[in-house]
Parts: sequence; structure tokens; C-alpha cells
Amino acid sequence: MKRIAMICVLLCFASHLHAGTTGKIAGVIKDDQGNPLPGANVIVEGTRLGAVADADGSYFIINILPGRHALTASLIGYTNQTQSDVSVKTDFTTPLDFQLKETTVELAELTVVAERPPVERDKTTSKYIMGGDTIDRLSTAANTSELMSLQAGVSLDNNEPAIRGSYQGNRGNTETLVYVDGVVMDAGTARGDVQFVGVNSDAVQEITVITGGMEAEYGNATSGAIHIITREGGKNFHGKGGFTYIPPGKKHWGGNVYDSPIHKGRMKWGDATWENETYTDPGPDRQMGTGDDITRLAHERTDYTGIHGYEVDGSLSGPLLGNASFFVTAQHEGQASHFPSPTKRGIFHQAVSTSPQTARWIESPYNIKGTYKLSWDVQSNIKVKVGGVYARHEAYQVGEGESWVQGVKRTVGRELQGIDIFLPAGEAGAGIANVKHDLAYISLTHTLSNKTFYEARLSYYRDATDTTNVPGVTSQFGGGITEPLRKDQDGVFTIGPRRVSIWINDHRARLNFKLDYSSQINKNHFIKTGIDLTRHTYWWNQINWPQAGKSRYQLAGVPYEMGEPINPIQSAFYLQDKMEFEGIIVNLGIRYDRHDHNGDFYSPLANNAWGGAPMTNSWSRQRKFMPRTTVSTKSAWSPRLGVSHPITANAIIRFSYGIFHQMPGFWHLYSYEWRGVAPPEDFNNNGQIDDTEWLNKNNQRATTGNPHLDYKRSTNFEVGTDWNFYQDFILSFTTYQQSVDGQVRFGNALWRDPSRKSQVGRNTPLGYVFTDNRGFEMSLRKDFSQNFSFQVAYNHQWQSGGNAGINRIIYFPNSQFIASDLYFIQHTKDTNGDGVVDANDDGSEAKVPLTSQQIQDIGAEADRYIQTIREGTNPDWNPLTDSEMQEVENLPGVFYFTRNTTSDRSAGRGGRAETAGFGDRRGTMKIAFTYETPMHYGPALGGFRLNVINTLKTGRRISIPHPTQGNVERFGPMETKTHLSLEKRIRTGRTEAVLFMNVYNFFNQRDPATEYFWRGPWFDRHNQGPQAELWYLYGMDMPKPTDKNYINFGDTKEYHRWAGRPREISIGLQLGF
Amino acid sequence: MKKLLLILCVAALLPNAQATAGEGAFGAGGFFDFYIPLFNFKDMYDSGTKFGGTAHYIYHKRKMVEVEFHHARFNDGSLETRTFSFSDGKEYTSPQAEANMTINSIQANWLFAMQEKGFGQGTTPYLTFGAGLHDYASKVSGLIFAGQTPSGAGAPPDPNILMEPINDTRTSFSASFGGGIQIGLGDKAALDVRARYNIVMGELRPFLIWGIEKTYSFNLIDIGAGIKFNLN
Repeated sequence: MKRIAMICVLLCFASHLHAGTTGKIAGVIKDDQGNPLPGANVIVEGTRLGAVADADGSYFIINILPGRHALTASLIGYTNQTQSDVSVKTDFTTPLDFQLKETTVELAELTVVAERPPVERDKTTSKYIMGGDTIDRLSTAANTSELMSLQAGVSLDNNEPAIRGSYQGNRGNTETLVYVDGVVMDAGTARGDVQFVGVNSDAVQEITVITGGMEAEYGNATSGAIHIITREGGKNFHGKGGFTYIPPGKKHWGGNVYDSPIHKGRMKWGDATWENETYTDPGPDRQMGTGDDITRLAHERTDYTGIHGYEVDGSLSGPLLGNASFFVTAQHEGQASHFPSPTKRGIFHQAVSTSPQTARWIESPYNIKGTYKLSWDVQSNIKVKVGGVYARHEAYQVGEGESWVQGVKRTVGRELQGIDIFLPAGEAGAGIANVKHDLAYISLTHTLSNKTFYEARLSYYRDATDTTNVPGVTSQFGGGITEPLRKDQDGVFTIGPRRVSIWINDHRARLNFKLDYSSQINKNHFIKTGIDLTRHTYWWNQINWPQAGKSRYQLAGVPYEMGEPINPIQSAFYLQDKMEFEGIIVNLGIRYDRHDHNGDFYSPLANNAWGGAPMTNSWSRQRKFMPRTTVSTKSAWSPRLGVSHPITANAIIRFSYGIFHQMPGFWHLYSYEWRGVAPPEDFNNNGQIDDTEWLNKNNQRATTGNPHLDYKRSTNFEVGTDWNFYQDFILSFTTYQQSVDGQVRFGNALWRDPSRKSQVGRNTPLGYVFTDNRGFEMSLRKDFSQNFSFQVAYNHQWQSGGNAGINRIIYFPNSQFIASDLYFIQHTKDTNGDGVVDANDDGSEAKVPLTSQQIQDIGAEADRYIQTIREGTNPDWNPLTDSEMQEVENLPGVFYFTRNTTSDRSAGRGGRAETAGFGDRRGTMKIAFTYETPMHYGPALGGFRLNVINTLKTGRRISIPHPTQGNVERFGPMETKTHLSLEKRIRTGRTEAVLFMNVYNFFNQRDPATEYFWRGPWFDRHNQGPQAELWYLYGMDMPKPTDKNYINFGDTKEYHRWAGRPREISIGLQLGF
Repeated sequence: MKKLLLILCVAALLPNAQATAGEGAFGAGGFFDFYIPLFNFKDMYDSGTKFGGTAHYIYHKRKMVEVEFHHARFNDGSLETRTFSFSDGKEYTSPQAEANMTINSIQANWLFAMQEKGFGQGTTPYLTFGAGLHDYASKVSGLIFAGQTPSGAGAPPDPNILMEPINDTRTSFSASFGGGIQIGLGDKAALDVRARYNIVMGELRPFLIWGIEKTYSFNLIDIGAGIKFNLN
């Protein structure tokens, strides 16, 4: 009831709102003497939008879609004037004045091409907009995520956008949100997740990148937002279809994998006995001697470099009956396999892979993605839109870290040393994953007057994976192939079976209602306000069976109930006023965010501290005995301020300041993970594993989510300028400072048990990391004119980080808790208490109450521990770093103290100094250049277009052990790539054919893989760090000359050592009308 | 430096001929420059020479566009003589070490005459900026592997354990700005003396054991002179 009341209050308060998907045009209408013309009409051609000039001749039109429009001004007694090519950008005001001539003589309507504003006078923050014209010109050269990354401040790692070195999804949750038509394309991150951004570039009308202070309507992100506006259909039919052909060839650095140095002496090509060796596989039923046995060659060389690749895409748009229009796109890829693989073709996708070579290509012969949009002008003042994004692919599941979970890929994995390369194609060790990304929305825009409109939007977004055909998996109780591993006759190469079983299923969705209301209440104030309500549905399961009997469960959702979703509710309200005066534009806003967990979770002790307590030290015990409690709702206020000061007609200076809050990723809030070394035991001897016996041997705790985490908070400040210094050359320069607190890293939650007199616990997410980010951002651009355009974007920044907050919590009971029903140290399988363990028991475990003596002895030890803390003599409690002891809320008799981490940015209270931040990278640069010859140059010379895209990013910062100087911090190797596309357009009437050639990595640049050199925790597992030392200390990108393996075999890591891929040429044809 | 001074003196002594070439003139020329590296780059290579050709077009009496091709060499990099400290506490050089670098570039330059009379009219000081591509290759070979394990306590490094040749190659975007003087030499020719600051978005890897930090980006000054001929 309270919730409903609050929503009502917000709705009532939401008197003025605006969704950031449209722009505004404003100006003055005068006669040729300079006198205002009150009553003059202005209309946007092809729409029902228009305005009437006021007594000063001023007019404005709001709610205009981004793009290019024609506007006509008219007044009786004056000649109509039409200004074409008027550029409108989301959230900006385009100035447009008219000067009408008196109709003293009969004149035809006067049409002029509008002069573009050199700089946006109302730009109050770092905001970069790529319009439809530019996107069209670059569409064959770059996909949508690459287009985003061309803007200043945006970098792509693993094909996921990050702004100014912010966290990405694989660090818990992305700090950069991607919107499509006002809908957030994020449904809560999963483990190691990557945000989906696969919108077809044909569908994109405009991309806005906000790298500085986002306006108040943007929330739950700390670094920035990327907003994609999709196209709408028009009054005429348009269609486009394209086919791209990618010739076969080797798609990776190094030699053919069958000739890899790692196989030296193992592969015996030319030896007929070895080449003709066969074996019999038991077939799908995994039983030998049955009808489905298959005899195969043991060593079959796949011609994986001889596979053709292709891409097919198309779009169609046009009118429908009743003032409606549509726009649909679809795309399918058949990218040739980069390595021997279960499938010949796949897709470039944002894969959860750490391998530089395989980060983007995955086995997925069946894939499609696209967009759709239906726009309907129901009445002159009501518009309804239905739109969405869909993506499907069916992928051979590689699971998590294909190289260390054995047997998934038929390639030369690091630990595998290539021994699985001859595993038969067409089989997937971890099943086939059906991956879905769906975004759908319906919106209603109601224009109440020429000053006011509102938009209501109901949207849905989900990421889902359903894995099927996992070998050996029948239920959640167990799985994995128990069949023994078989080798070839030399005992080197695996011939079967695939040994891994991973089962990944997840469903993460958000149902959102957003109401935006906008009003130009007078000439100077444009008020926007809105509410945003989201109900999440979130569960995620990953189960690994690395060996028979062993299991690792990583789940998220309702605790310990696999596949049952949790439904957190997020709500927000914002209010902002854009104040436009002659010499200053101010954007002032405030935002309120609230996160309601909407369910019961375990008390703070759940964070692995409970796992250390004797009563709950296994999955099944925790599931049965751990008490649940409501977790408090989190909320935050975020003020925003942006100021723009036009200093000349061609230049502005701007300033923005804002506080931004974001909830930690759902994986950090709601996950739990246990490992087991033995299969579940049939406790009640009924011959089956009951639900109550599920995972009763999983007693190795790993990490557990922490729903008690609060919002992380970012304070952003920037000062910048935009200067149109020559013709249409515009220089933007911004210097910025960002401080983020409360970023999540794993800390410890420990249970100090008085019966064992020791602390037990494991990792749990705690928000104690901070990142400081400062730098400058430069953008130099020239919009298309005089046959060419270009943009150069460069960021130079310094990022540091450290710990400032609680990274350890120690819980401990007193004697009161020991004497309660909640504490015990022994369990019994005799759950019905009849003295016999049999099928009449339910399969779970029951507690064995403490004896009086145990209560007395353990209670005394518990009280002694607490007393020594009070006295300051307890060695576990350090008054310099630890908090005062407190009692846990809603859990009488359990106390805790917290430990602050070893560094503090403000006071430097002992410990470690600030170190490099995760995203510390000195420089990123992007250049996009377009040159085209106009059609009037003739059929031979006209219609050519050249696009050149160059990207540069320096390596991330790492620590290197110098033999004489100790640890020194330096930046990793630089990575540059240059892509080129050449087009020839041939136009016949309304039909246009485009022949094109794309060249990826035009200069065939081969750089050390940044990931390979980075020494983060993930890569430490693979011992790849030492290569970074060789590079820094000795300038070597190859193994040591004294490395015996290198001397004997050669470079066995040649496939992972280098970034990206060698030069690749593709050609294509696109037909459109 | 002596060569440069000589060129500058010759340029100063030349009479200011009244060239007639103006708007619409096009032509070609050649030049010879010195590269002076700055910052980390100079730790690797201390100087270089550069020569090449230009093609130009005067599209406005005060504005000239020029396409420049050049080849530059940096020989005898400092790694050839630098020492490294080994576990025996002594300093060692690598007798077989060689470090050389070449750069080939293509760049478009815009020249703006600072006098109203424009180009082709006697002596014309000008400002210039340009952008283009620098294709570079820095090759290091013959370095003793300083990270080798000594054969015994206090033993020196084995001079036969050499690192594989190292090659930093890249085609990088570059930009330059600077100024110069164009001195007419009759109707069809002009002497061009200029100095520019060049930024190349390239990287040379570090050799910390030899005391060399990574270079990013390249910052170079080039000073030199050339002759331009108008062909119309």
C-alpha cells in the first residue's frame, strides 16, 4: 500500500516530463525590415508539428524526431519560406530564424538550405552526437558498437563499451548504460557478463554518447550513457539488402594449428599408419556394441582455413494504412571459423571469453538479429510507437573459460596443449546454448498543446540462455560424463569423450514503465520530469561438473532454489529545468533512485560467514537452517547541474557537476556459489537423491552475493569548450574529474565460532573500492561538406584507485545465542527421531541440541571473546582499523565488528597508497575520415566513397618487478588498428546499388594482446604475467631465448600472443530503393 | 647542425627575386631536414636525417596545399652503447647490438602566408600545419639477454645468449605544425626553409634494464630546407 501511495505521489508530482528521444527548434520570424511577425505559422514538413509566432515573432517547436527536416514559415501577405536540411539532435535546441518578404509581386515559394548551427549553444555537458548521415556513410565500415567507440571517451574491450575507463560488465556491472529508444538495454549482469549492444547499424538514426554529466533523466549509471535512437518509416517505401562475402583464409596470427609448434613430434603427417588410425566411438547412447557406434579416423585434419564467410542484412520501411509507418531490419552472419571448431561458421558476438583470439567469434551457425518499429499517428496529437530489438543465436556452449574447463574447443588451448584437437566436429561438450536478447516497447506520445506533451512507455528487456543437449546431465542433482577418457594409440590425443559438462541457464528480464512529461512553460524554461519503475526477474544458473562426482554450483536468484527468480523493484523520479537565456543556459536537475529487493534474504551473516558456522556449513544445511530476513530498501538523491555560456556566436564554454548513483550488479547482490568434491549422498537410504538431499556434500564455499550492498556513488565535474574555429570545423575540449566510491570488490565475512575457537568464512562482495579519474578529452570534427568529413577524438587520463571502507566483517555469538535454538554443532540424518535412518526420514538433516555442558562451555568461551574485545585485549580486534562491536539487527546475541581497509584517500590512515585504477589507460584515440565523390562527377568518377577508421589505445597499467628498483608501474603495449572501406554507388532512378570492399586491419598491424600482458587476477591463473615483465624489462614480446620449450618447440603461444586478427578483406553488394 | 647552418646562411644571402607564380600555381620540389627527437624518444635515438619530395598547389594567393613524402633514418641508437647491470654487480654492453630506425611518411600540409601579398612574391613567411601517416620500423638486434641465469655465483653473462631481433613497426597517424620562409628564386623556383613540431601517435617499446622508458607518442622537431619549382 505504501508503495502504491508513493507511486501516486510521484505521478502527481510528475507534472512536466521529457524523454530524451526528441529535440526542439526555436527562433524568430521577421520581415525583411527586421520587424517581428506575430501570428506567422511554422510547420515541420511531413509531420503535424508546428507553432505560431508570438508578439515578439518568437516561436518554438518541441518533440521533433532527430534527423533532418524541412520547415516552412508562412503569413498572409508574405511569401512562404521553406528551410530544408534543418538538423535536429536529441535534447538540443536548433536555432532557426525566418525572414519573410512581402508579397508585392507574385513570387514562388522561397526555399533555402538551412545554415547549420556551428556549435550547440545549449550543450551543458560532454555529449557527442553521431547523426544519421554520418552513420549512413560509415555503415559498411563499422557496426553499432564500433560507431559508439568512435566518440571521445569511449573504448571497447571485449566489444563492450566503457566510458573514460569505467568498469564494464565483467567487473560486476557496467557503469555505462546503453539505451535504445529510451529503453535501458541491461537486465542485470550475470557472472562475467558483457552488455549486449547488437543493434543493426542500418536501424540507427542517431547515437548520442554522454561522457560527462548526464542529465537527471539518466540514472543507475556512474560513468555515462549511450543512447541509440532507431529509425522510423516514412511516407515512401524504402528497402535495402546487402550481402558480404568473406574469402577463406587463416583468421588468426601464427601458423595453421595442425602445424603448431606445440604438436612438434606428436603429429605425424605423412605417416600412413598414424594418418589412417581409426577408433570406434560408442555413439549417442554412449554404449559400445550397440547400433549407433561410429568408426572414425583418429587424426582427421580439418581444413578450417578454407571456409567462406558471409553476412546478409536487409531493411524495409514504408507507410501503412492510417498514418502509420514501419521500419524493420534483420541480419544473419556466417563468419568462418577461426579455429577447428564444432561448427564451420559462427558469429562475432560479445562472448564471455578472456582469450584475445576468441573473444568475439563463437560457434553459432544459427543466428539472427534485427530491429522493428511501428509508428502510428493516431490523431494529430497522439502518436503510438511499438518497437524493439531481437537477437537469437544457437551456440555450441563453451561455458566459462573454455581453456581451463577441458575439452570444449578443438583447438590449442593453453592448458590442454592441443590434445583435444581431434575431437570430432559437430559435438559440444557443454551442450548447445540458445541465447536470446529481446527488447520490446510500446509508447504513447500525447501532445497536450504546442508547449506540452507527455510520453508513456512500457518496455521489456531480457537476456536469456537455455542450454540443451548437455552430455550426461539429467537433472540438477548431478551430471557430467563419467565415461573414461580415451586416447589415440600414441596416448597423446584425446579421441573421446568430450569431458566437460557445463549447464548454463539464465533468465534476466526487466519490465519497465516510464512516464516522461515535458513543457516549455515559457520562453526561458523547459521543464522535464518523469518517473521510472522497473520490476526485474532474475535468475542465473551455472553448474560445472569438471570431474565425475565433483560439482560447482554458481546460482543467483531466490537463495538455494535453483531457477526461482527474485524480483527486485527499482524506481526513480527526476525533475529538471532547462533555463535558456541570452547569454547562459542552465540545466538543473535532481533525481531520486530507490532499490527494493522485494524478497527475503539471509541476514548479513549469509555472506559466507554463515558458511563458517557449524550449523550451516554445507549447501543443504544452509538451505534448511539459515534464517531469512527482509533486506532494507536502498535509496539515493542525485543532483545535477550543467551550465553553458555562449561566449561568441561560434563558441561556448560549459561546466557540469553531478552526483550519480548506481546499484551494484545483481551478481554481486544475489549470487551464491558452493563446490563439492563428492556426489550427493542418499541420507535416507531410499535409493534416490531427494530434493532435500540435493548437494548435501557441497561444503566448499566460494563466493556469495551480498544484498546488503548500498549504491556506489560517483561525483563528476568537468569544464569544457566547443569552438567552431573555421568553416565547419569544431573543436571540443573538456577536462574532467570523477571520483567513484563504493565500487565492489570481494572482502571477507567471517564467523568466529566459540566451539572451534577459530574464524571461518570466505569471500563476499563489499563496496570498499574507490576510483579517481581525471583527464582531458578532445574532439575535432568536421561535418560532411566539400566532399569530406572527419572526426578525431582523443582522451588522455590518469586513473588511480584504492580501498576506502570495510573489507572484512567478523561475526561472533554470545552465550545467549549459544543457548538459543539457532545454534548447534551436530546434525543427524534421523529427522523423524525414531532412532533409525531409513526411508521414513525426509533425507535432510536435523539438528542435535547442545547438552547443558556444551551450552555452558561454549557460551563461556563466546562471552570471553566478547569481553576481551570490550577490554581491548582481544588479538583479533585492532582499535586502529576495526570498528566498535555492534549487535546484528534482528538477530539477538550475534555481534560483529568491521575492519577498514588499508588505505584511505583523504586521511591516509596507514597502509597502502593509492594505486592505478583498473581502467587506467593513458591514451585512446579514434579517427574517422570520409571522402566521397559526388554523383555529378559522372558515372566513372562519381559515387565513390572512402572511409578510413583508425583506433588507438594504450595498454592498461601494470606493476612490474624491476630487479633493482622494486615494483615499478608502467603501461602495457599500445594497440592500433586501421580499417578501410571503399564503396562505389550506382544510381538508377530510385534504385541504388553499392559495391563495397572492407579491409579489416588494413596495415596488418600485429600488437601484443593487451589482455595477455595484463596481470589481473583472472590472468594470474594462466601465468601469463611474466610476458609483461619480459616486454618491459627487455623489450621482448617472445619467450626468453633460454626457455627450453621455446628452443625445442618454438612459440607455443603464438595464437594468444597478439591482439586482433591479420588483415582481412571482404567484398559485398548492397541494393536499395 | 653545421649543414643546417650552411643552408640557412645561403638562404639568407639569396636575393629576393620577384617570383610571379601565384594563385593556381602548382609544382614539385625536394627537401632535406634534420629530425631532433624530444622526450623519451631522444633516449633511444638522438637525431635523424630526413629527405623527400613535395607536390604543391597554390589555391589562394595566401594558401598553399602541399603533399609531402619523406624518408628518414635514425642510425646508431643508444642501445648500441648502453650498459645493463648483471647479477654480478657489473655493467655490460652488447658488442653486437644494432639499433636503427626508418620512417616513411605521407602527409598533407597547409601553408598560410603571413603577408597579404601571398606566395610567389619575394620572401614570404608562413605558418603550416599538416596531418598524415608515418610508417616506422625500429629494429634492435644483437642485445645480450640480460635476464639469463648466470652459470655460477658471480659469473658474467654469456655473451652468446642473444635476444631475438626486435622490431617495432606501425603505420601511425601524425600531425605537425610550424612555420617557415619561402624565398623566391626567379619566376619558377623558391627556396623553402621551415621548422616544425611533429607528433606521431607511435610507440617504441621500453628497455628498462638498459634505462630506456617506453616512447608514446613520438615528439620530434624537424628543421630543414628545400627547393620548390612551379610547373605552370
